[in-house]
Order: sequence, then structure tokens, then C-alpha cells
Amino acid sequence: MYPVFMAQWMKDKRKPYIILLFIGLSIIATLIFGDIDRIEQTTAMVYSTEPNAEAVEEKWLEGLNGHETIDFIISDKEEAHEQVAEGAIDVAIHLMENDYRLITSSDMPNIQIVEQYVHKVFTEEAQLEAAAGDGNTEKLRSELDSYLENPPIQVQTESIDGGEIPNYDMGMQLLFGFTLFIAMFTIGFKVNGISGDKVSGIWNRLILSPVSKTNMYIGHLLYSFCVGFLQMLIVFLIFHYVMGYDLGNLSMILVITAVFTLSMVSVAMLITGIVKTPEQFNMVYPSLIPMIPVISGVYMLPGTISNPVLQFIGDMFPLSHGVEAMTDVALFDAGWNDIALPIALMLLIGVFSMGIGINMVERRK
Amino acid sequence: MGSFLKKDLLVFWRDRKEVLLALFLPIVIIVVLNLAFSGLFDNDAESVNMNVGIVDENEHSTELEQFKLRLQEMDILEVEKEALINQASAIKPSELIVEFFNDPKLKEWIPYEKVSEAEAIKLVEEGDLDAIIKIPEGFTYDVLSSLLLEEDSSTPISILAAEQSMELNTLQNVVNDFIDTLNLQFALGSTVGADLEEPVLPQGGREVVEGVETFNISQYFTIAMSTLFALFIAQTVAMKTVTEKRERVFNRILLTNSNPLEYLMGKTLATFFLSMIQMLVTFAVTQLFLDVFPGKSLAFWVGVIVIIAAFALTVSGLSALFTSITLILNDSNAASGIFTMIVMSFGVLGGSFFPLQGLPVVFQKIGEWIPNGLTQTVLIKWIQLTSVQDLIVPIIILIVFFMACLVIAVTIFPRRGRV
Repeated sequence: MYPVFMAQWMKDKRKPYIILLFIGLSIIATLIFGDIDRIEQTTAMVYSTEPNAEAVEEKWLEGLNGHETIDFIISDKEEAHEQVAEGAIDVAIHLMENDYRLITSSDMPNIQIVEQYVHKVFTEEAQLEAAAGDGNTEKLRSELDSYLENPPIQVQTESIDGGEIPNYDMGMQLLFGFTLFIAMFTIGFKVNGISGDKVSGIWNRLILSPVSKTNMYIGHLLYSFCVGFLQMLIVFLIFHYVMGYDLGNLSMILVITAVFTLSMVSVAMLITGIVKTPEQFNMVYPSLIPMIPVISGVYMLPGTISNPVLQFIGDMFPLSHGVEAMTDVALFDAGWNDIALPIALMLLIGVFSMGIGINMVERRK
Repeated sequence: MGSFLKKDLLVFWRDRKEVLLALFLPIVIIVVLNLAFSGLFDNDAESVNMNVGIVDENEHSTELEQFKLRLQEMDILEVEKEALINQASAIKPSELIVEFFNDPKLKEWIPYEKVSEAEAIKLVEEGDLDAIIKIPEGFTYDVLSSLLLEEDSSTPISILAAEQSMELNTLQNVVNDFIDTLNLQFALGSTVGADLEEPVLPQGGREVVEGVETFNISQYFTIAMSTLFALFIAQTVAMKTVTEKRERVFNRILLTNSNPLEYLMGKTLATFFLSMIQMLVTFAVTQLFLDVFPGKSLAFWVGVIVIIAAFALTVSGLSALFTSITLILNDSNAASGIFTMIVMSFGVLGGSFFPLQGLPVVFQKIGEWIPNGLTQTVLIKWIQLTSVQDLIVPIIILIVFFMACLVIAVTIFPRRGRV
């Protein structure tokens, strides 16, 4: 086992640039995309064609501003229409004295959010004006505001065992998701070394040597494990110590990382077993891997994917369990008991795919 | 060159497993994304299935009596008491809330059941309920004293859940919106009094810019995924080269005294056909099963085919470049790694994974110049405007990109005796 491991290490040591480049770029990609400010800003241009356009624009802009993710910019009709038609912005708003129209050229989901918000602002204003009659809306507004500071009916959200529900931090999920996702590539390319050795004849020569079959596999897989783990270790350490993210209990995160790596090495082994040559692996693997986070729902809030078939497919890969366990640790201060299930599932996936994978590799002539 | 093309097509045919994967993976993904996103943002969403338990610990009549008793003890005029009691009897806050959830439209996507608290908590823990809405004891009393006696309210309705989720988010929005409206009504009632004019509600609505058809998120997915997977084809073809290099096919070809460039051309053409077929199949299947582009004219489809052809040409140029790189590099894993990185960064920067509008402007500008990003932009514009002028420049750019790739590929293509 040890010589096989060392052989892999020596191969990389002699030609270190490729692997260093790969790990380096993976780390950079993770840092860029894991760190990006994910709250997508929607820009909406507002304009008015009324005779007193400026007054109308100002009046509504005051009411509209203050949404977290929507920016409202004053513009004129031509420019707004042009920008919308070009697709540079998704939506423009034509303001009238008491009404509005959204101007769009697409049907993207964020427009719905803008519409709901604008509608709410306008409806409230309409009610306010009706209530004020001929009177002063300003005065009424301040009265209402002070009344609504302590409204008769209040709503609060609580956890079922009392206390607050920790806010779900989507950024954290993406951070973990990307780190694991990109490491899957590195792991796969390293595991593929087994196929590489087979076609180049090294494998056969090793079989003749005193090294046992088991040790040959362990040597290879252990090396892949180490490379994958090292990559994620570096990423997490940078996130934790350099970029100041609070990853929670770092030692627990690293244990999950290790289990995930183990499991992912097995999945890569399974794919190695399904394909025939290392090149086929290189064809199938990179187009299969980007789909796993999509199906596992890593890019979306938990609960977005509710189709049981999709959930099942997603659960067959370690990624969803790994991300789940990590977010639990980082956001909800989960203990060992809480993450036991995802860890067990990852190990189970690992055992199964390793078993099937090695079997398939061995049965081939 | 014909024989080389035939060889490459045969190589694909022998590897039906991979080719089928390349053909069907994009379709599967588009269906998945459509399922995941369909109706997520509409109010009549079918995909949001949320089960809510309502725990009503409020006892309206007793609490109303309690409130009346308190009024009786207060030191105010008998007439005022009478008026307040009348008002109080007319307000049934907890009923308003249950009534709101009884609305048939809302009930369709947020079905609820009435349960006791202990039972509800058990159900949430078992995952049968997504959230509980708890109307606490003393709610009526509290709301009435807040409304009529202007005291601070201290008995809020609680939304209880085990953890943050999509469902909880939606429920919070729905409930908050409703309660906000109620409060506003109460506020108006208290500050202005009963003589409310009927408000002139805004009509709102959407208008589409003149001469433009809208495009939606399913169309975005179809375009993004088919262009992304076409890029993977370029990589697939290059990987075939590695096998041919290892099995000395390439050297044997050299020995036959045929021009090695014909080998490159065969690959390029084969890629063109394969990626063309792949994208056409993807568009056709998604159109047939999901009706992604409803009611489009024949002219529209001709345009789509032209754009796809131009993009397939670019992909084939890319594959020529990849093939040359594979031949001059010794390490096939390195080549694969490099191609993966190129394809993935094209995917990200070209907006195939997520729309670029959220990213900084620099990325958007780069994205417009990357073949798949350019193709995506052009196709979206074609859906919206269907104007032929918009096609010309991008198609020229795609062809130029193809030529540039091909020229570089031919230049770095190894000369005889160097492989």
C-alpha cells in the first residue's frame, strides 16, 4: 500500500504544475463563487409621463425606496423602454398619479417580486389618500406610522422548542456547496489514475509484484483521498482564518469533510467501474458532476425541490448529505448526534459504490 | 477527408452509451429545473405543498365576557361603555384569521388542519406539518384592549416551525401581508374614524415593450443547458483523441501518407454534426413535452436552427483547438483538467449556470463575448424580437471565433514526427 501511495505522490512531485494549477484554480474558484454576495439586486427604472412628471416621480420614489433587493432609478420613457428591450434591466415602471404599469420584456421570477412590492406600496398609498380625503396625507401618514409601531395584531416566528429559529444563511450553504462541488472534480481526476495505470500496463506489473490487490487499491484511493481532503482543508482554513467566516465547530466540519471525501472517492470509483477507459471517464465525469448540485438542490433554499423522485436521486450522491451536515454545524450548532444520520448515509453510499465499483473494475477482462 | 469523418462518426456510434448520455442529460436537467422552479414564484403554485396546523387556544366568548367585565369596572360613562361593548362584539380577530385560511384559493395550496398544540408539535417533528400557526390564549382579549382601549398589545400570533425553509418563508410572507393589511385597516379606523371613502385602488398590471415577446425561465433553462452541453461535446471529442493517441491510431494514420490535417478536419466536422444533433434534439424534445416555446412561427424556428448551426460551428472550432492541444500535451489527465476548466469557466461566465444580471458589469461584458453567452443573448433576443438584423453580427462573431480557433489549432497541430 505504502509504495503505491508513494508512486502516486512521486508522479505528482515530478510534474507538480498540473496538479498545483488544478488545486490552485479550484481554490480560487471556490473562494470567488463561495464568497460572492448572492443577494441579487434587481434594478427597476421608474419614469412618469404626466405633466408634473418630476413631482410624481419624487412622490413615489420616496415610497418605493427601502426594499432590500430592488433599486429604483429615475429615468425617462425612451431610455427605460430601450433598456428593457435590450434586456439590460428586467423591468421598468411607468408611474402615474395613482397607478403604475410594469414594463417588461421577459417573464423572469424577480419581476413577480417587484410587482408584489410595488402593488403593496401603491395600495397602501391609495387607502391612505382615501382616508385622508381632502386632508393632509403627511399628517395622517405620521399618525398611522406611530399607530402601527404597536399594532393590535402582531406576528412572531418561533422554533417549536421555544427560542428563535436561526436565520437560514443561504450564503453558507453555497459556500459549503461550492467547496465540496469543486473538490469532486479533483477527487475524480485522481481516482481516474487507476484506469490510467490499467491502460498503460502499470497495473499488470503491480499485480506481479508482492503488493496485494487490496493494497494497490488502498494506495491509490488513499492518495486521492489525501489530495481531495487537502484541497478542501486549505479552502476551509482560508475561509475561517483569512476571510473571517464563522464556520462553527471547525473540527466537526473537517470530520464531515473527511467522510464526504471518502464517500466521493467511492462514487468516483463506481463511475470508473462503469466506463471502460480513462478517457471515457474524462468525458462522462465532468458532464455528470455539474448536475449533482442542481438535483441535490444545493443552489436553492432547502425545500425548493419537493419532487420525491428528484429528492431520491439527489440523496444517492454524498453532496446533499455533506452540505446538510455542514450547514447544520455552522448555522445551528449541531452536535455529533445531529449529524450522525448524514454521516452514516455518506458512509453507506461510500460502502455501496466502492463495493460495486471495484467489482465492476475487477470483472472486466 | 470523408473517410476520417466516417471514422469519427463510427467512433461515436460504437460509444453509444456516452453519446446517449450527452443527448439525454441536458433534457433531464431541463425537466428537473422546470419542475423545481415551476410555479415557485406564482401564487397559485402547485409545487409549493405546505401543510399547516392551526392551534386555536383562543376562546372567543369567554374572553369577550372578560373584556366586558373589565369595561363594566372601568370609570367611564355608561353610553361609552355601551358603544365599546357593541364594537367589541363585532370584532372577532381569531375568526378573521381562520377565515383567511378558509379562502378556497388559499386553501388549495396551503391546506390546514386544526390540531392541539402537543399534537401539532409531534406532527412537525415527524415532518407531516411544515409549520404551526398558534393563536394564543387571551388573544381576543388582548386585541380588543389594544384596539378599543389603546393599550399595548402583548399576545402575538406565533408561527412555529422546526427550521427555516422555503415553505416557512412563503407562509411568513402570506401571514405577514395579511396581518399588515388588517392592521392598516384598524389604524385607519382608529385615526380617521368610520367615514372612509372608498379608495381608488391602483390597477397595476404589466405591459410588454412594444414589438417584444416575453421570454420566461423555462426558455432560459433550455437555452442555457443546451449551449452548456454542446460545450461538453467539444471536450468529449478531444478525449477521443487521447484514446487514439494511446492506441497509436494517429501514428498509423500518419503512416498512410494522408495529410494529418484531414484527421483534424474529420474531427471538427464530426463535432459539428454531433453538437448540432444534440441541440436540435434538446430543443425538439423540450418543445414537444414541455411546450417551452408556445405558438412560435416557422420563421422563428428557422432562425433558431441558424443560430444553433452557428454555435455548433463554434463548438467544432473549439474541439479542433482541444484536439491539437491534446496531441501536443503528454499528459491526458492534464489535458482533461484544462478542458474542464475552460468549459466550466465558459459555462459560468456565459451565464449557463445562472443569469448574469446579478453579477458585476465586468462579468456581464465578458459573458457577452463568450460563444455560449453570446448565443444565449442572441437566442433570447430572437425570442423577444424575431428581427433578422439582430442575428447578423453575432453570427459573424461566432464564425470568426470558429475561424480563429481553427487557425490556432492548425498552427499548433504537431508536424510529422513530433508526436
